[in-house]
Order: sequence, then structure tokens, then C-alpha cells
Amino acid sequence: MHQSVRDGLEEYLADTGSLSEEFKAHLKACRECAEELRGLRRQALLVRALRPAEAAEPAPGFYARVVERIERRVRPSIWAALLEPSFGRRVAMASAALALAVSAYIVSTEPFRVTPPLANALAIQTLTRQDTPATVAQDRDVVLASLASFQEN
Amino acid sequence: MDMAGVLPFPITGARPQAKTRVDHRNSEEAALVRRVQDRDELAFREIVERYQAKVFSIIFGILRNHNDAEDIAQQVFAKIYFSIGNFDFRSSLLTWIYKITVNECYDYLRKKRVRKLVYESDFSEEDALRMENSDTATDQHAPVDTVLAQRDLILKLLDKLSEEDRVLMLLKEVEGHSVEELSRMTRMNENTIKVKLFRARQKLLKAAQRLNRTGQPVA
Repeated sequence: MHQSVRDGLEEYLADTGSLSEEFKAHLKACRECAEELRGLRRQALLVRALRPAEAAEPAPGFYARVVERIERRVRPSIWAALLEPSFGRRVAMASAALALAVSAYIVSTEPFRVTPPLANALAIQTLTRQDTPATVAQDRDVVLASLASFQEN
Repeated sequence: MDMAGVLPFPITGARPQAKTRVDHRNSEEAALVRRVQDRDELAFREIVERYQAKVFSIIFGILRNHNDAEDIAQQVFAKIYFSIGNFDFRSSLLTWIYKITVNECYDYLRKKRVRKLVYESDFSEEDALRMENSDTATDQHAPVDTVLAQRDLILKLLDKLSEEDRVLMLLKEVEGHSVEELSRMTRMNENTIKVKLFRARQKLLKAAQRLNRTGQPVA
């Protein structure tokens, strides 16, 4: 597009009627500029189609709804608060401290009882078993047989 | 103002170049903004009541849906409330609000992928040709689906522009502001506005032509 047409383009598209003589003369002589101007005018008309066809107003109480939306953003939900890093860190530390305190309490108040099942079984066996010469000999035989059959890999 | 990359745009028209610069810091509007920045709720309410119809109209013009317009308008004012501390008075309050509103609309369109919006993959060469050659934008009797398709296409093409160019184009064509008014609103000089608009128009035209030629997505 030539400069003289470019200079008057906005006035031409706005239909202000204030086009320079130079602009008009050039448009008559230059087919290329005239063609481009037609395309730009069509385009401008298309953009103007975005003008609302009817008066558009929000329903009554719009300000109250805006304030409500702002307040929702200002006062986030409890879940959002939990996700906040500083608050989450504090909750984690408090939980750890509580767990430690509960563990310490349980350990300190539990009576001392070492009665594991295996120890109980051995104690019962020891108490109930009566060694006789026959059982002693039998045990010795079992041990000797184990030693004789032992093979080093 | 950053003039880097902006070509000089000599004015040869009859109208002299306007040199007016509006100081957006010392207006009544600026005082209102400062009150909101100081968390004066009454001042915020005044801004909402002053601009709610405008914001609603902009959104409705783009989306044509009352429910969506209500929701996005609420979102716009919530955003204004939370970001007004960053308002630097370089443009008018209306321009700033307009920019937020258009951005919210485009965010919404991108996120929701509104079915009615015609995307590249759905857009045939025939549709593009019809767009290129039709005058239905001004035809009151054009079929509703054609008008909707054209409106959706122009929304999509506008998405190819930078945020600033898109807002300028909408302020010029949809809101009907003159270059001189845009200059006052944005504190850019008229030459810069004209250059930006010209480039934006060329970009839109090329995108539409490319679509027409290939029927392929507009890059």
C-alpha cells in the first residue's frame, strides 16, 4: 500500500469524510491500493460485528456478587490452608512432637516383663523334664550320631 | 514510551497532528483509583457501578452469552480489586479495564474451547472463501449461522494479534474511538497508534488470506 493511502487509512475506514485530495487522487489511479482498501474495509466491518447488538447489563445485585467472589478468594478453604507450605510444616512438626510424647509415655508406664514365648517354653521344658539315666544315654547317642554323620562342605 | 521498532509514519492529511497528552495521574479518576488502592470499599463500589455496564457490554459483544458474561464480569472486577495496586496511571482506567476484560474473554475462549468457535481444523476452504468475499457483516438478513461463523472467525483471527494490538483494534472498531481518542487513552502518539493499527490490519488480512489459500491453520 502506498504511503499517501496509508496516511489516510484510518479516516477512510472510519468514514469521517475528511480524506485528503491526494488520497482520493491516488485511489483513482492505483488499482492495487483500491483493492487492498476494499479488503481492509471488509475486515473492519467484520470486527465491528463484535459490537453488542443489544444493551447488555448485569442483573441487579452485581456488586454483591463481585464482593462475594472476592471474599471467596480472600478466605480460602480449610483444605487450601492445609496445603499452604508454612502451615503444613507446622502441622507436621506438631504431629511428630505429639507422636514422640505418646511413645515416651507408653514406654515409661509399661511394667517390665520379659516373657517372650521362647523363653517361656524353655523354662517350662526345664521345669517339667526329669532327666533319667535312660534319657541321658539317649541324648548322648543322638549327639554322637549327629557328629559321625557330619560332613564338612 | 518505547518507540523502538515503530516505523515513522508521516502525516500528510489535512488534520494536524494532535500533541495532547493527558496526565492520568491528576484526574478525578486517578483520585478514585488511589482510594481503591488504599482499600476504600466505597471507592471500589463506585468503580464497579461506573464500569459494570461497559464491561458487561464488551464481554457480551464477544461471547454473546448472558451467563458467561455475568461470570466473566465478576472475574474482571475481582481481578481489578486484586491488581489495582499495580495500576500505574500510564493509560486511562477505562483502557486498563478494557484490556483486562478482553484478556479475560480470550482466556475463557481458550480454556473452554467453546464449541461454537470455529477452529482451524473445522474451517474449510469454502468457509474461508465465503468469509473473504462476503458482506454479511453488514447484511441484516444474513443467516444466523453465517453471522456467527464470521464473528467466531474474526475472534480467532484477533487471537493472532498481540494483546496490545488486539485491544487497540477493538477500541477502534468496536468501541468506535478515533485515533486521537486512542492517543489520549493510551498516551501513545497518534503516529504510533496508526502504525500499530496498520500492522494489525495487515496481519489480520494476511492470516485470512492464508486461510483462504490453504484451508490450513493460521500460523
